[in-house]
Amino acid sequence: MKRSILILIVLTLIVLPMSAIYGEEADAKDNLTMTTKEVLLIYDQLAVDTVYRDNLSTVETLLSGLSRTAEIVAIDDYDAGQMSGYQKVIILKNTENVVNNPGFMADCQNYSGALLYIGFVAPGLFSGLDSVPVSRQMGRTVSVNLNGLAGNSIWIADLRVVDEQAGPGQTAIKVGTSVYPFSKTMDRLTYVPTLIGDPGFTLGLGQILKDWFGLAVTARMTLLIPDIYPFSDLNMVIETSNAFYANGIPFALGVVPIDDNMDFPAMARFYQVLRYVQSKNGTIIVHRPSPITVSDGNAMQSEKMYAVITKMVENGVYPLGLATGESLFFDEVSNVNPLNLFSSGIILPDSGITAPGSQETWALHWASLGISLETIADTSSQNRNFGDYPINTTIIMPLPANEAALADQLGIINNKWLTLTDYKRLDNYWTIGQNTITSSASGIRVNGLPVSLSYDEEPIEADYRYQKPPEYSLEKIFTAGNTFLLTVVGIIILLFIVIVIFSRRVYLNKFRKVVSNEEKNEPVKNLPDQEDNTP
Amino acid sequence: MNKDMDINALQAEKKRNQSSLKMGPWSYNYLIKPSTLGVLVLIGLLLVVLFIPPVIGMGDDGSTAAIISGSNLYNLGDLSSKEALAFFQKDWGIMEYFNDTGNAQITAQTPFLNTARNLDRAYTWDGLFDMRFYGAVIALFYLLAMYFLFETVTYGKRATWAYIIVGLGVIIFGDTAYTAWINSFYPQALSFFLVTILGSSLILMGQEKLNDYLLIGCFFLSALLLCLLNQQYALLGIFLGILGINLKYVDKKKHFQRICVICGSLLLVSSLAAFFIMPNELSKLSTYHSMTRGVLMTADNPEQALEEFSINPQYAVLTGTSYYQAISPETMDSQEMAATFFSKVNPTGVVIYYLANPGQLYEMLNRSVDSSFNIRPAWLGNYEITQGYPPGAQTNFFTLWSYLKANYLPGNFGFIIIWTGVLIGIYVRFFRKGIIEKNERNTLRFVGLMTWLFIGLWELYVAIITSGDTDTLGHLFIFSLTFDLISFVILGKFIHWLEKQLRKVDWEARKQAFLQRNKDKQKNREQRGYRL
Repeated sequence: MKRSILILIVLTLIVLPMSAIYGEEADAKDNLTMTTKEVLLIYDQLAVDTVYRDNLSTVETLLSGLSRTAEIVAIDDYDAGQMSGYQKVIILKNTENVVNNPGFMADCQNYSGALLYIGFVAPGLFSGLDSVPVSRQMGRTVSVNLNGLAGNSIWIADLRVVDEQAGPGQTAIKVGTSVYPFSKTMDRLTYVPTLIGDPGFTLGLGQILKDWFGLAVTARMTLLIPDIYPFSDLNMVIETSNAFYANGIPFALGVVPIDDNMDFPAMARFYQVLRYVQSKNGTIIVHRPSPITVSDGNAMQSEKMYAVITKMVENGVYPLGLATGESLFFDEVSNVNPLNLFSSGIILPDSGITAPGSQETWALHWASLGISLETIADTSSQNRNFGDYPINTTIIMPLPANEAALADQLGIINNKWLTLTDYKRLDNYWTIGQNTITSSASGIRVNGLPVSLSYDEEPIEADYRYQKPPEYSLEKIFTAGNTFLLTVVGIIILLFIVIVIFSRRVYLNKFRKVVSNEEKNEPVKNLPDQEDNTP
Repeated sequence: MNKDMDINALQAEKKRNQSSLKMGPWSYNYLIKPSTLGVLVLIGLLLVVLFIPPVIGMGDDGSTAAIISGSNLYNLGDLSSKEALAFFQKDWGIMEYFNDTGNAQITAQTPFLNTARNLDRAYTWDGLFDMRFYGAVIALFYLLAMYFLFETVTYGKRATWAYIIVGLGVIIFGDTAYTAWINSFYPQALSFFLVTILGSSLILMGQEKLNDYLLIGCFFLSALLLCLLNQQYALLGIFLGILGINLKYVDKKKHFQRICVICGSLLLVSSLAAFFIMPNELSKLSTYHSMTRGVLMTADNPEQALEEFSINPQYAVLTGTSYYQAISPETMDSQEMAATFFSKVNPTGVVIYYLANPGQLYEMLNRSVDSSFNIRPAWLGNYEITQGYPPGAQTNFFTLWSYLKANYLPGNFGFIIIWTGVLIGIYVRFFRKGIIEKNERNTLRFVGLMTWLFIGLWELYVAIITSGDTDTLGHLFIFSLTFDLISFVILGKFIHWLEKQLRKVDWEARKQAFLQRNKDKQKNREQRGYRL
């Protein structure tokens, strides 16, 4: 009996620490997967002076638009074995230059995950690629066809396409009468021969990336009027929202956060207009504060954003998403707090963000790619209905300068029969400071309670005091001291006056003769008598 | 009586000088003179601060791009615009080919820049321009200016009090807050020595210490260069030109009088021409600040103030903000901002506004005086990025005076008024004496100081009109400088006076009296018959 108990104790002693160790290891593994990015993006060069200069930025933006995190590294900085940590690798080759990194070449041969190859083929890098028949054509006018949508025709000096006939429904590049596939997939390798900085190619690559990641969600299209300041043409904002409301177009308004003078009547008026916009089915989106404007670094920026958002919610304005350039996703998540707390966002075109060196990105839960209104206007669809782009897109429509411009822009949107989604209906949520906001098809909830978006005009303080009296230290003591001194001086002055009056009397008395009243009253009368009396 | 004392003192000094002549060669004797010694100390300071790594300088806010482009120099662009503000940039590019930037601008700085560039080319041929060459050119003139200044307060004498005054001068004008400007392309570097030479050459002329023709040349040259620095300085030329013509009463020599009239009229004409020919440098930056950091900041109701300029009152939200703070550069450059804001603000409008609201003008004067007492704007860094200091860090080396000035001097206009009163009270008797005796040369001491005062107050006013209380154009720097110059001269006068008073006292007799006092008491006691 004793022996069995002993054995049991020994056994538990052996097992317990092991399980503990295993538990720790499992935790460590979890942490590791948390920090690892989903995609490794390897590029050869930025190709600054060529048509391929925007390619890296395009791929990065698309990855953010699809809510994927990535690590970005140049081939020259690539460390051997880096690829094996990733399930998915994208290689972007902007030039025909020879690859000189042996570690990279060896890893390419041995890599077993999914791989997307964009741009010029480096011979011998992938055996599968060398055998793809590529047709190289100089000086062609092409357009990209996707989901039945034909983009604007553009001229390409050096076009490389897979020399095959594109299948129906496949994303394709149309050159004259022939239609080539945008990409070719062989086994684990997907090959995109040509990519340039153009909305059509961007969206085409978006389709390829979406398929490559295996995302099946339907893409949404929203509309954003960006860069609204408190001093923008607020009458035009009201007019635009009225027009959009009348036409049944859901839209979002991008508000630039200004943290100065947040209690000024001008700001109250601005919030009033924003409330009005909300009542007209508009959604408020917050812009990322321009990193150039913030002189005191990111810490200050986050503090200001907390203040701005709190103030907005106080004033009945509920921002639901974030509008930002791609560069935000390169910053450390801790530095951009609270911007990373938004669940959804719109990625605005942001040129010239690519800096050399390795970088890591983070991603929003739901993101949408900004495209210009011209892109929509230039795109032709087969059906009367515009249809869908392959990925989430947001039309960026600047605030019209006048009513004619408003009518023009409205005409474009109405004529295209766009299917626009109300930004509110997307499942947005965030918790910033004391406030938690969620929005869905059922409306906006603040801290769990539904809020009404109906507009009611609130009076704006007319006699607002702009010049605050300065605060002094020890003010009370000094005022007390002042009043004390004043009373003392007052009493002294009173005393002085009394003394002056009395002393005058005393002084005059020195010269007064003591005479009887009669004499005093009639001194002139008596004078001749006195004179008479003198001897 | 007083005069006799002075003459005695002078003779004593002469004797001392003669005796020291015997002691060593002339050069040694000259070097040991207070003003020369002060300059030598300054050379040492400049070497340590500006030329030997770690190099100190001023961050670049991009306002000088057109000026350096006029000398075929360009920004290498290694730093972002934000970093360029926060860090000093030592290396700049020299254009190798035709300068096609199209915004090249020729100002008074151009000859100095060209000299520095040619020096750099003679020394290295690497296509890089080392800022220190420009610093060296400026430093030369700076040292000359300092020599002049020290001469004005020491009268070229060697005495303990003269060394003390010069020591104070080194502390004030050798302060790194001042000298750091020398390593920068800002107009401050030039105006620093130009303003100093301008006034001190007048005072020296009054003291008859140096050759009149040399001094009048210095005066006119520095006045001309100062007026050609940029468009806003040009109007000063009218005042300086009239002053220059009036200088002919100082001496009876025909040549001297002709030079004064001709140079004075030239100065008048050229400054007027410069005012109309030179491009209006008022950038968006200063226009923005003249409203947000000026008119709006002090207005009781910014919205009403905006309405007076017929600007959308919603712009009131920008009250008190600075150019880089609230709005992104894209918006700042947008058509909308240009049409609804910038096109409606101009200096004339601001002048009229302040005339209608004198209370606000006084408030702005207070604030501007306060901010001018920080000789270095807080947003410009002093170190190079490679030196590893945090962005915007400013050096603390040899900054005693600027520290005291920024933290302990009352920075308001009332103080300046009292200070002006003291200045005039002390010096107006020289002026009066000169006028009564019909000896115009004696008035020059007062005139020199008044020139400084006028330039300072004028620049203070211009600064408020053009850029609110931010000193983006270097006007407040000149005010701050003239304040220091005048204070220094008064201080020198005071120390000299104090020394004279102390010299009158017969210290030996006092000492004896002090030592004797107990004996006397004892004697008295003994006489009275006390016994201890």
